[in-house]
Amino acid sequence: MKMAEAREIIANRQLAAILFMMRTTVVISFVPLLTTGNAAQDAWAAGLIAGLLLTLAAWGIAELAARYPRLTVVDYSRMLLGRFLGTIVSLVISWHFLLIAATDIRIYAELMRVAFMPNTPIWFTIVAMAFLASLAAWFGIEPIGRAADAFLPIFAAFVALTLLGAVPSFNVHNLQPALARGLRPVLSSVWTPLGIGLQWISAGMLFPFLIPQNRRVHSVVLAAVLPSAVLAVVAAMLVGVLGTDLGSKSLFPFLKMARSVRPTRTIERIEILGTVAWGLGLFAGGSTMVYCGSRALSQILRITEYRKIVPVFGVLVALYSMYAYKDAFQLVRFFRPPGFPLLIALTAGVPYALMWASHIARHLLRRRTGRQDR
Amino acid sequence: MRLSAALVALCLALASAGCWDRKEPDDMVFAVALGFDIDDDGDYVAIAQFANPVAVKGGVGPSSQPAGSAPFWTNCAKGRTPFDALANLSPALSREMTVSNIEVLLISERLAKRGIAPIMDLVARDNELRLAVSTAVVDGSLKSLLESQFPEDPIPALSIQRMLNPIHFIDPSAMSPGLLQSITDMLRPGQDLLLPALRFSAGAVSESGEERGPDRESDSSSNSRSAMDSTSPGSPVTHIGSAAFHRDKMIGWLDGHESRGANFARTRGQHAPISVQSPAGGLVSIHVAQVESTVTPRYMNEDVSVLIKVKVEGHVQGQTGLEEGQAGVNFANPESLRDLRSCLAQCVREDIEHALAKSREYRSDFIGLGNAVYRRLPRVWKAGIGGRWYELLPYVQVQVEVEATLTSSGLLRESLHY
Repeated sequence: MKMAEAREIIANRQLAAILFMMRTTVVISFVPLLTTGNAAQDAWAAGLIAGLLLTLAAWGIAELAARYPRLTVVDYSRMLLGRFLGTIVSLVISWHFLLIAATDIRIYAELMRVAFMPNTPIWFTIVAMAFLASLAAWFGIEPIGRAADAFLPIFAAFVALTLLGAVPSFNVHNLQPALARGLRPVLSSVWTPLGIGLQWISAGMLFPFLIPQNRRVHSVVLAAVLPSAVLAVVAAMLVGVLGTDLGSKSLFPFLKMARSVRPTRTIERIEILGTVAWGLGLFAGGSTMVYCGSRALSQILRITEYRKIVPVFGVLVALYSMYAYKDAFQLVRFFRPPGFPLLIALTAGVPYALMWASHIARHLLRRRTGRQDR
Repeated sequence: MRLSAALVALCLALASAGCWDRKEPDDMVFAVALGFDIDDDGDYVAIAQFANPVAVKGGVGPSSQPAGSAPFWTNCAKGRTPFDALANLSPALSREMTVSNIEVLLISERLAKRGIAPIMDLVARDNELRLAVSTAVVDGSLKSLLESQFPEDPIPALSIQRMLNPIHFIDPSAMSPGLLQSITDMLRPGQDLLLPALRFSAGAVSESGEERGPDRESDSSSNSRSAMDSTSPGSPVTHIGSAAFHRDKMIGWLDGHESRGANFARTRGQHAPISVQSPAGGLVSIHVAQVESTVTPRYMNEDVSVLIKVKVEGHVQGQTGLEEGQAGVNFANPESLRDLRSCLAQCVREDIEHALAKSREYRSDFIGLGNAVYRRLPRVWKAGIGGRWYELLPYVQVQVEVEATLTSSGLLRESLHY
């Protein structure tokens, strides 16, 4: 089933807002730049390198999608790789959407359990968030896009205010010596944040719905650049405030920072700002992932109406979120390199490399034989 | 479908108000100060001071409180770990204890000498305790201190917090860096912790019977009043300088001047009163209002040396020696001003040198000379200096350069003639 009849549309700006919030949310949650490698005081540099690589990956995803502007990644994967291999790739991509939504929700649920509601069962937070994401996905990508539009200023303001509140506690000595240990420790912190850029495959699903069409690639790439810059700033601020040891050993360093500072004598507590921003970002990201996953599965299963899949996908997200990770320790282990980055490289990097290779081969063949494209 | 979805969302919203984690303020009791000690058996002792909002309501002072409605009370419990001790406070309470509002965290001298890492671990790990609270080491009975009344505030924790807070700006001793700063200091390579010290005055006998707190005879010969004399009348506690640590263990005390010197070198103390010899006789009091320092390490011929450059800025607050028609200092005279600046610089230099001497004696790098080497000369640090820094510390050459500026002579251009 092709997506030529797609009726839903969202603005490029809205997709950029969704991707921005989704990445910023997950990456500021446990700050993998600090917690998954040895970059320590050079985490900001790791953030910039990860951002650069993510921008390249985003460009690769968007450019391929731009070659097939009316098709989703499910359509052109089967076209480029053949029905069998393409279906397997499409199923893996659907699993990616499930993985992202479930893991994001689980991280948020762990935050709630550890920091705010220790007695509330974790299933409750997971079910509540999965339900909200599914509900939004059921209504469609347009309401999600509009919600992202509405949330973005609040999200950005809350993250910025949290950082601003931490400025009085910032100590530049914590960032020194800068880049003194060579490139290897910096690179060790690059791979997990880069792997989390798996979120960009949603652009492959949403590409046919984006308007205006001539700015689609630009928006997807810009959405990778902006959060990378934000993350480098967040990493520098976290190290400046918490130091390398406390920062890298905290479960949720951003929250730790917000709870450890007292900006003024009248405004003493600011962690709620970051937590609310996180919730908004999770809603935007989770609902988009449920939407994309349901769309992908409905295409694979040849079901015309994707909404029939949404409740099932929502239940899968909740179950995966609850049972894939036994506890916070396992969640932390999951993101550790080399396991997580390798998993993403194999399940997303390789299929995209194959699709690009097939596309180039087809293009060259077509030029040689003088055939016109469709 | 939309209606049912909305209904389910509504139910979730209602449930998310917190059935499992609901906390009714009426059912809670709020700790405002927390102290940790250790007993002879090695058990941790937690002492909590609780506020009684009903008694404090309306600004009624403690003296006019009817019996049984004091504005605060304390509770004490033991445990094998700091958390055990904290949890053991609960059985004696009819309400649920919360420590999310504590203002100060106090540590006894005995526990500080044993090691404060378990306390820091608890505070960094706990979801209620915050790293924004002020911390100090107590010389004397911690329990008695937390049970004492203060004249300024009905709740003693508030008084102690204000003593340790930058609002108490004229105190020449170390200000509390806050727990966050303390923990980052402890974890930073080549840097040791310096915590403010409080002395409990009533029957102040060190429980350990060891070296008494930072009393110093040399203070009498110093150029400014000792911090030990600056207690508010009736206050059971005095802010007396600092406790120097090596890693997580307290090594010894620093008096007010040594603390001030350490803070000048670290740009942490911004305000201090200093009295210098006046060129016209008597003393001139200067309020140092701005301090900026840089610590620059150098490595030559396999030797580390350090240059501490300090810029201090102050204004004249008063002078003595005006009796019998003496004119006092002529502030319009550049030579007099130069002499005053020179005397001020000398005082600051002496304070820093006293702090350095204590740092060498204790082998505690609370000024952060090692950290400066780590930050500015990372290759030297990694090449072996870092591994034997504390062996080298007493022998590191330190040069102190102070540049003093006087910005004004207060609201008088010249001294008054009597």
